[in-house]
Amino acid sequence: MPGYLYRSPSVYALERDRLFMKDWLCVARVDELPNPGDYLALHVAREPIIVARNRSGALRAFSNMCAHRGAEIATGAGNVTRFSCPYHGWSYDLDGRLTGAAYMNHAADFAKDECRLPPLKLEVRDDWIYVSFDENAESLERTAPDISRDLGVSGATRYRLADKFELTFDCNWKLLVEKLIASMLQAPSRSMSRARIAVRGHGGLSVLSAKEATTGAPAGDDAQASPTDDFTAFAFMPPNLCALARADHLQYFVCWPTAAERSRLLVYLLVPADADSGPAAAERWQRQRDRVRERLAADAPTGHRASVALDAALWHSFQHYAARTFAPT
Amino acid sequence: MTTHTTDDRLNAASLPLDRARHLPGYVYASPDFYALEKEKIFMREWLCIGREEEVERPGDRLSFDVTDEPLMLLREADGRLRAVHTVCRQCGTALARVADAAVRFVCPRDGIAHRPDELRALATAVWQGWVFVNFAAAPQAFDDFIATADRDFGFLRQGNCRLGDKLVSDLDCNWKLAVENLADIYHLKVLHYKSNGRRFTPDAVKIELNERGSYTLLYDSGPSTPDNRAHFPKMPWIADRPEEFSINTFLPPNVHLFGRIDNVHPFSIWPTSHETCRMICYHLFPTQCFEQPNFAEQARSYGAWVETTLEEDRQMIASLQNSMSSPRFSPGRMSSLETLVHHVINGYLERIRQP
Repeated sequence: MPGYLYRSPSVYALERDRLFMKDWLCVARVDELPNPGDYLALHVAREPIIVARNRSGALRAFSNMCAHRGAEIATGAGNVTRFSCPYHGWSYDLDGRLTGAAYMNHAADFAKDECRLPPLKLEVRDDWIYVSFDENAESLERTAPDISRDLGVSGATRYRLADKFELTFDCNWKLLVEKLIASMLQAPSRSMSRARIAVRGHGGLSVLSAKEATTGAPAGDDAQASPTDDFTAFAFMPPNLCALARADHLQYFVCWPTAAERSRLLVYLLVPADADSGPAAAERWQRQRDRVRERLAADAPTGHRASVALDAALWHSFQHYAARTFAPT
Repeated sequence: MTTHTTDDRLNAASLPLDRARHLPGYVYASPDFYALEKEKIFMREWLCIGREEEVERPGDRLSFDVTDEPLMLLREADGRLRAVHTVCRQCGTALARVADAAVRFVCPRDGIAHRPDELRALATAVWQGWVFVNFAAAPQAFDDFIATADRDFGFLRQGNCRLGDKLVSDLDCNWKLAVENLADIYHLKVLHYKSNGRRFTPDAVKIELNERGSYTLLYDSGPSTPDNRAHFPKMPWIADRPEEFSINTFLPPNVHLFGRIDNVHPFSIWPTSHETCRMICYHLFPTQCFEQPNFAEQARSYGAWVETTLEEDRQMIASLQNSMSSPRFSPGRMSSLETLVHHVINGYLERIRQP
């Protein structure tokens, strides 16, 4: 793709409006917010949002932007009974509704009960929390490819979060996505050189290792039933989620833009819920974390073991990206 | 982005306080609006760029940028002050200073060197030791401009004071958010409850609203120091005032004059882009204080306390700026403690709406 697509602030603004403000976005695991009052604050292409579990245990998402002047009412993660804006003290419940605002009694027709932080749509699938800024967005079920099925992990096996970490990069977010796709398709595995690639909506991809593909089973069908050591499946869900399944763990990569030329990668490592969690396991996840860090920090992948497949896959994704980002208004 | 100055969303800020809303985000986030402000405010109004004692001796000079317009203030051999617009008169390019003993400037495009007296001189005026410049060809009479501030703040006799500490800090926000923040008594008891808001009582304020956004506020926060006590003697000319004496006069477009019992510490706020600004805080003390042992250290501690309170604001105000470019931001209603912010905003709107 031409260089300006990775540098231009105006392209970044278009991506924000047409991709990130429209699509379902994977923002957290349910295990990160187990209790009422738990919350996470994050930025989606500069848009500050909060995901919180309310008193009755339901998950909610809303803009992290005080209804008075727009200040962020929370940062990081934690547990609260209510949110209080640090600027002027306006307070909100865990659903984002205004509950208190001092020195506002004089304000004519100020309906405090109707004042709230702008909500986002939220859905949970396979213990992942997805949000959409688009109030007219169709359900995740209808619009997004089913990553879990593509990874061969839908079904009985429950996973838990073994590790989560963050890496920051001085590059456009799309370079990270491409690098993750390329590293998957160029994996130095004999079976991956004969990987089966399927395309999904909005430029999504599903890749299954040759061993599984040659069994004749459709991508994902019961693949977790008898995982073998070289089982590998990969899925890309636009705009920014890449996921990888190995025989005994999953890795989810979410690439967040923070500026036209800066990005933040969240990496989640998941293991079956009943997997060992002792020191040996912790050590193993630390090694895995180091490997991921090394792989992503390395220069752009070299070698072209799967160049035709890679080019075709990236071309498919780019067509959708360009059509959506640059469609005439 | 829009530069419409009669937008309904702007008009909502001009309603009476009990019905008013804050300004829409584009006023703080649009490069177009910033260009409009440069033309209608910064190229027309009297601007306070520093203290006389910063250019005290013949040959002293001070470079300054007003938006993207460079100027230099010089003390000439005969002791007079001269401010010049340091751009090439032929092509408008910012001039570079030639590094030699004589003050000369060279145009990077045509290579022609200029002496200061060959550059366009800016109107210059001095009030109580403060140097003001004006880019306009026919500026407002300075005495008319300064009359209200002189009436309300003149008794603090800054002409009998000298600069003891100067703090320069860059902020990730539009300049108006910083100006409004300094007029905002609503946040004192919340964000600054451990610092400058600790003694402040919202019900004990005395407010005088003046023309075109200027105002004077009398309140009771007391000395702006870590222990909330004065570390210099009371300024002799206000010795009859209590220790908690606090005053803030806003001198539009971008200067907040703050006075306490033992010092005066004005802030000027300068746009450096549509979403960044530079804040300068000057601490002035009566000349006799400069004889005090450890004066410099003590004066620095006053500046350091301003830095501490500014750090409380820094992230907050950057998050405000971020929201200003969000399509999901909707300006909220104003509080009864935002009389001054409302007044400042309306003075600003009056300026950008002028022909």
